[in-house]
Amino acid sequence: MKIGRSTYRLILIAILALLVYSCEDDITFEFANYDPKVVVDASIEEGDVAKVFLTRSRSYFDPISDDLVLVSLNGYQPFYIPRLLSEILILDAEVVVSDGSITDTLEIEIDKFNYPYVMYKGKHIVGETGGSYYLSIRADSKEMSAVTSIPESIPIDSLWFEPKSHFEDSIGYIHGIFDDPPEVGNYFRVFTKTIGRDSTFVHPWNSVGHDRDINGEEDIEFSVYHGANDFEENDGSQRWYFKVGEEVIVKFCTIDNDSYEFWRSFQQNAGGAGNPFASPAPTITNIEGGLGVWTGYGVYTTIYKVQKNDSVHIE
Amino acid sequence: MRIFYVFLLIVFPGLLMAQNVTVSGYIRDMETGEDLIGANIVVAELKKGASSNTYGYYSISIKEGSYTLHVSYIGYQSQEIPIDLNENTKLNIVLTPAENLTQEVEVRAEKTDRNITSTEMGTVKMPVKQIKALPVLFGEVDILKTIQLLPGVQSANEGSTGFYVRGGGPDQNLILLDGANVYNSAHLFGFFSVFNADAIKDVKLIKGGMPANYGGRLSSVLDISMKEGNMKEYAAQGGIGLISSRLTVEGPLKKDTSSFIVSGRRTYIDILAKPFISDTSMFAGSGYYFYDLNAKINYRLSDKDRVFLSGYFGRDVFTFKNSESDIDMEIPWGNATASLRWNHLFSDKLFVNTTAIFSDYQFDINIKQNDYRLKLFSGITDYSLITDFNYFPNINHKMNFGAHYIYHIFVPSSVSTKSDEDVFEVGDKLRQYAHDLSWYVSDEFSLNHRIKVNAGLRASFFQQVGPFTRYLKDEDGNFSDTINYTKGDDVTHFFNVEPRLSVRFQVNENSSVKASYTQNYQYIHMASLSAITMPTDLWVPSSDVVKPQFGVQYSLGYFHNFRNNLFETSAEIYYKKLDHQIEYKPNSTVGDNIGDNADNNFTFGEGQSYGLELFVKKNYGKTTGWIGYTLSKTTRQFEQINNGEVFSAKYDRRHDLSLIVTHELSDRWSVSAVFVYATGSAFTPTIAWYLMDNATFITEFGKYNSYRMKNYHRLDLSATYQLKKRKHFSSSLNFSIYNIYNRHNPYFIYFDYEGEITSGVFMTFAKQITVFPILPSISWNFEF
Repeated sequence: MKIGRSTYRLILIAILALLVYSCEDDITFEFANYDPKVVVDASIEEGDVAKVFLTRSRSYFDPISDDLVLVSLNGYQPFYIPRLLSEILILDAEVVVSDGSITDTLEIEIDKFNYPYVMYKGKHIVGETGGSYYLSIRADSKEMSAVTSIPESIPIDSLWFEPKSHFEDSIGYIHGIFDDPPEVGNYFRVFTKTIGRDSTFVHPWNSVGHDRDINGEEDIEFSVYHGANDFEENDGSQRWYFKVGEEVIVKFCTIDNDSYEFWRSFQQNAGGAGNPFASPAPTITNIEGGLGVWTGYGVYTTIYKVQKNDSVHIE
Repeated sequence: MRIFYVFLLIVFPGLLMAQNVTVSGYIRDMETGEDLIGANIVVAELKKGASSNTYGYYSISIKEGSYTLHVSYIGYQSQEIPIDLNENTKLNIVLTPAENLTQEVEVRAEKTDRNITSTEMGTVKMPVKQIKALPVLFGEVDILKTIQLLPGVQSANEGSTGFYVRGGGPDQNLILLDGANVYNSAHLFGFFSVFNADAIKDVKLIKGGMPANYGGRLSSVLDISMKEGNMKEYAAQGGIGLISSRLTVEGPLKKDTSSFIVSGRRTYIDILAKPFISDTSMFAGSGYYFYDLNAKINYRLSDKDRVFLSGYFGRDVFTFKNSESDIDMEIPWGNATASLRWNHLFSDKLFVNTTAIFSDYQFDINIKQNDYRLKLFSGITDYSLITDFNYFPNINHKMNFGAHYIYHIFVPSSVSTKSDEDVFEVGDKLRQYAHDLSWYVSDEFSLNHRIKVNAGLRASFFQQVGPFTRYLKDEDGNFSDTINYTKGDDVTHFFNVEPRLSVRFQVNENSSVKASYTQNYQYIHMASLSAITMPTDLWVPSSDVVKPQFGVQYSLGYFHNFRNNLFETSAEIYYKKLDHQIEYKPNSTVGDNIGDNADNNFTFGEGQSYGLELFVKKNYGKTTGWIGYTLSKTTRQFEQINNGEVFSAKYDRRHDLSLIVTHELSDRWSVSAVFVYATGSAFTPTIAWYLMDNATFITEFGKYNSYRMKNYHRLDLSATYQLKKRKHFSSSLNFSIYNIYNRHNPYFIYFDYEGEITSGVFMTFAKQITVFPILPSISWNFEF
């Protein structure tokens, strides 16, 4: 269950409500000559090519205007996007992935379902278990590089549905079981995609885990709620639940330590925004010369049909 | 005992002197029989003297002859006592409070040049009366907030009782209430201190030159003595304020032999707020209150023996309910202490105090959201046995020696979560147990009429013992092994020696130069996850992972009194070096302590601080007050913070100024004013933002503590009107205005955004929160 951003906010409001006289003032600071950094959101999955989203970071108090601007991209009709997006998008980068023997120069294409809607996609190199992959990027007169690896995937033993309550038993969470491998240092990340509801994989707020407390144990239980996707139509508070009858693709991924550290710090940073009591939680990037992450995913995928009082054993 | 004397004679050969006679006794308040702590007795003919100890006892050994004793104490009429000394003499002295004197006499009262003549440096004593005269927030008199007005002492936050002394952390202050450690001195997230001024007699703060009888903390000692209770007659005092009321009752159980005092306080914000939170509101059931209770009884068994039993109990309870998100949260926390002490006179020259102490601090969080429950508990419990000897061999020597033993039980954090049927618990195995033992000896002696020395040596031994489980980790943070210790096993131990030295050089009657060197070890550590002092801050012991904190301080000062001690002035410089400091590693969360040793999540570093403190004080007359100014710089350096580079400590204040004035307009009216100015707190700014993982808003931070909040300043005023006195009843009204020109001082700053990122229509912003704009308050205080 997430005790994240909203709860912090509520605690804060509660404390301030006690101090009824408190007041808020807008302030700004001068951050002299902030040079925007290249933000890399890159991954390579087992059985798939590399996908890289590139944007720029932005000085905190830079104004954001809400008009639209026309963008042209080779091979596409010119299209309108918000000015902010046009300012942070990097469309002219050189992105190369190597597996140590061959190199793959990624090409830009439009991705309708994932912000910022434009990605660099590989062609020749397909992720394999145990492989190490090197990413190098040249953009905005900067050079970035990173390395990641794809750990062996871990199968899910069984999946079942647990209703929200006795009274609302047609919505709820998906639970699953897996056996942790004997070696130390396994890290997980879980995604779901509900057919007919999501056009892309989503994940719960806290999507990563480690086996530090459970190394080598069998029957490790996990649970997932339906992750947020601000880009899809949603039905308010019901959006956090899976519904009986839905078909859900559960993607259980394994990642390396550096990727885990990034996603953990990412969650913490995103959760801490606006919480004045939190200590600064900088993200721990594995990108040399930039921000963001280059993650290799070992992938185990299965489709689960949400049913009441049902446990599905997966062969 | 004989062996001990032999030891003393070897160590301090100056004790071998001609046969002396001793005059000794207690110095007390005439009206209440309360012992007066630190009263001065000067033998006029010798220009030498002594002062009373924590129990009002003094002892002077000099050659036979006729002398005049000059006895003085701040706030009391001085006395000249002629005495013919030809045999050992008991002389109990009673002093009359100055407020009962006529104007003319008052000018003669209180003259004291103790700040010039003593070897004490960086030490401030404050009678509670003086504290009560100052303007206050919400009408609540607060000892810790007054302490913050002294040079070298900084407040943690706006309105906060947390304090930092000469660049040291908040865990480096030894806060003692009747000898018992108080681990968390704050109520209401730091806005009020746990000390109820009505129950307090005397407050002493030591910022530098810590004598050898104090130890276990690096930066300061705040030694608070509770009143003993009126030995002569029943009395009560109390007050009704905007947010709390308090009542103290004291009196003799047996006149001049035994007395008691009971003092209680409770806030009623929760009750006042109730009408504004309707039962149907989504916050119904939320609330906050705190209360505390002080009690003490004492009994004089004979002229040689006296026993005291004192206790403190306080709790904060914060409840938060939100029906919309189905959150139900309860956070209680608080301290409890109990002290049983026995004063005994072995002889006129040897006074001993033995104390058995229990001290406990607990913090709980209970959160329930939907069917998820989280319980978090942390705390520290101490059982102590302390023996302190004061030995007064002759007028040139005053010796202290003793031994302190503490058994600590730490619960750095114990967490249990429950979600439906799954229960996860981390129980007893993360407790840490430790023996903390120290011995000390010190001697204050005059080499000649100019040079006086206070030399001391403290030895400390600290041992963490089992049961304990140590989790070992590899580079990636994965558990590689565990070490299990069973009950009583030596997990780790330390033995250290801490020399202390203060020297006074008397330049002339009105001025002196003092220098001091102190070396301290500290075996307990506080780790804080949040940017402000919170009750969630954990206490952990030194361990196989956490080395003892080590501090060295050098200070040098010039002290000068003007106009017959009407004005006291001083200028002190100090340099302080702190080793083996701890912080949580960046990106640590409370959850990281689950199933792990809390100290595995720390990073280690060092700190230093140096500064200049100027102080001018006017002690008596219709107008009294002081000006304190501090120029200082405090830095920290940690391997895993700020890329290992030096950064400004959160409480680094380049400039810090306090101005305090109290003026008696008439018999009825008195007014006072406080002005404070301080350089803004250091903080880590959010300098940029970016979007990742389908437009999740992520922030980029600037260099650690590289920016400053706005400078802090404010002016408070107060006026007290004495209502007509009746035979056995007097009362007064206090009007206070906090922050009269409504300065919006920053409490904290937060960075956030509003709008829709997906549509590109949103705005980033930073907000500064001010908790206390202009705040008038009124309180009614009474005595009968």
